[in-house]
Amino acid sequence: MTEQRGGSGLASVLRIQGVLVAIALSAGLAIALVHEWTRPMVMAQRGGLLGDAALEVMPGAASYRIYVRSADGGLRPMGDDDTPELFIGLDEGGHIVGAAVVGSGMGYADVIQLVYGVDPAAGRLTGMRVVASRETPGLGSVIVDDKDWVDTFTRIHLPFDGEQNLRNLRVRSNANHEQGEVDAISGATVSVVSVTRIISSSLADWLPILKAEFDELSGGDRG
Amino acid sequence: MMPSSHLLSLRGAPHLHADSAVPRLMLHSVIALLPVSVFAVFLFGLAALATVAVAILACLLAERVCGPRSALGDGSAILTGLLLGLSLPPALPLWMVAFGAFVAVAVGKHLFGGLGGPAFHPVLVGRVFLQAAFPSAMAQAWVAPLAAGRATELPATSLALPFLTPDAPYDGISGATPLSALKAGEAGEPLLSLWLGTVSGSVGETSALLLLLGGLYLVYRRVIDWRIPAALLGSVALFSAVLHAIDPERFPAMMTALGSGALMLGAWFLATDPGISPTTRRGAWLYGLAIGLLVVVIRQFSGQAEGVMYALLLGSALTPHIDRWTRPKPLSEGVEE
Amino acid sequence: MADAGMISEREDGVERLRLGFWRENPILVQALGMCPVLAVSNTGVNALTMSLATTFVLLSSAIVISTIRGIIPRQVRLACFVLVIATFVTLTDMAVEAFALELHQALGAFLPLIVVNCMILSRIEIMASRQPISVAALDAIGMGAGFMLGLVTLGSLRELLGRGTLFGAQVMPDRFEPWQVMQLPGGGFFTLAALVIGFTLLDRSLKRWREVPA
Repeated sequence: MTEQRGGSGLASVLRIQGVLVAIALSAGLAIALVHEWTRPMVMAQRGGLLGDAALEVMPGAASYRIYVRSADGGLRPMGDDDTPELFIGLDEGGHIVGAAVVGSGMGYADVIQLVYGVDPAAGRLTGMRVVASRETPGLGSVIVDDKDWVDTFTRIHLPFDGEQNLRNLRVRSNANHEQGEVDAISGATVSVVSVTRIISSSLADWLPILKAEFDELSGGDRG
Repeated sequence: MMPSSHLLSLRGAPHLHADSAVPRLMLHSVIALLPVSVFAVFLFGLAALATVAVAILACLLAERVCGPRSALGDGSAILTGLLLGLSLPPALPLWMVAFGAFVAVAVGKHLFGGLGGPAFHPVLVGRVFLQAAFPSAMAQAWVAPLAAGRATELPATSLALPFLTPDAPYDGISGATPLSALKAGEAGEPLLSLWLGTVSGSVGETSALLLLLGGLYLVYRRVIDWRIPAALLGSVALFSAVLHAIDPERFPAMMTALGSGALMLGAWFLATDPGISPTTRRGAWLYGLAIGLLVVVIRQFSGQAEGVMYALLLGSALTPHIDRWTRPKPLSEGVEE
Repeated sequence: MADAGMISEREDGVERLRLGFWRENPILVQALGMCPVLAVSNTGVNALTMSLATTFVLLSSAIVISTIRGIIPRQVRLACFVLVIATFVTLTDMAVEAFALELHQALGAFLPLIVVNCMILSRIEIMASRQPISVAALDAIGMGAGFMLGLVTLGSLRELLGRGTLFGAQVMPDRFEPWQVMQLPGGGFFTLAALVIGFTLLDRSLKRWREVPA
């Protein structure tokens, strides 16, 4: 090192740059190699959690296609860099049996990400699974753990008003599921309200798209 | 405060400014809390009695284990236990009560250097620990007021074995507190029963009137600085009145806000602890104002139904800064009057 | 820094191994790398994965840096260290994501954040960049083991009290009421404080015990 002490000659600058470039190149090479090797495994698993949840909330679905909203407001199949937004469930024969939408919003502690199944034709929900949340363990976490409560989402009807707009889900004790009401849970008010609010606002976005595209998708599928 | 002087010499600021009279302070505080304690036993029966008794006994035990022997007689452990017991839900498993009391004294008080040392009120430390450790019990262990048979039997949940979940479910729904009912968008209690205290809630927080009476007694006895509760309650009144004026549907009226939850208990008996509150007059006003604002903000804009506990903790965290800011000479004796 | 350069006296590798594990324990004594320590010590498995990943990064970086320590120009040594560390962190992150997605999600951002773990940078600067490979590697293993000792103890305690389980297996009675706070960040803080107190007391009494017969 002593030869560098005094000078900042061209040689020493070149040497510094050379070493840095060499290290960076080796690092880049190593990362690229491992990336190529692990990428298929990662991609197979990504969307996996959401996909598993989607299959659970679409009764009868055996597989799915993943869509995202395109810039013009329609649907397009998911590309490499997209995160899933809509799952269309297919049964064993490849017929469309339902749709599952990915929704997210603020919960009590952090963002809640969930997948809910919806049957646009029948105007009802077909299920709900929270995929990611950080609600208070033991209180807000009932939105994941309380199987009975989670199951009620398979029975909730969504009344439409005259203009085909969805009436918001509401939280009540002694809820009437036929009227779009969700049971309140003592001690988990905020988490429960958050879940229903996320579904309501996401549905408000998605329902027009679903109603417009669902027939086309299913028609195209059958044809 | 304590006969052994070498203990005194170890202590850092903030100093108690009336150390010769700790037993007197404690005695007056206990006297001030007597009416509300008796009322609590009338309202919740055996559950209230057991909660307070267990809290006091556990505090005394922790004091005996962790503190200097001489301090046992100064009554501070009894007051800590009494306040903690009064601030807990009545049907809380008694082992949790004892656990919280132990944390209050062992961790909240003695780890911070014993009486006068803690920057945070030991009672709040104990209660916030219980709130964080056992949130579902703390959110549900309510008892409906004036329930039949309250004089002869304890709630089933009280008798859970140590460190185990009670067999019986909590009676969280019938006994929901007025504040959590408001939070859920349900109708509140009538104002009169809210102030009299014939509602559900923590053991000794329900009766705003009796707590007010006790607080005024302490002011009369010059045990506490009247500016702190005045500023605190005034700021809660002001901010809730403003909010109520903006949206009466969403925000409760001023008198409801003042009479509900642990506000009175906190304003008169916890916020005024000389160890955690500012020493100057201006500081006391600021401190009360800040806590009151925090109470309203937490109650109305967070997921919590009640915010007094956290507001008090945050408020006492401000105390050293308020003291420094309101005192021209940081190292002066600092006690006005 | 003036003249120290890369030249320092050769250290005793085995001694470094011992010191890193106990007397200079990175968590319980030096309090380094506190961010992952508090954030991902909520279960034993998370703590174990985190400490294995950290140890792997530390060990590989130490070996590489020690190998090329002769050619690293002093002026850009930190850049070189960070490049090497970041490479190994990225590799680890990708491997964990490919082979254990659930763990990857549990550890979240803290896996990539190993790159800023000050314990690693300090070992590289103090040891690996000045010592032969064998010493650097032993030091890294000692520090890694010390990190693991602290983190896994912390994680196990928090899991035991916060969930009643140990490495996923139920050990507390069925009706054990979990102390939820242990699973929250606050629980990490005061469990760590309790651990440091316990460690100091233990170390002190061990020392006394060793001195008495001598």
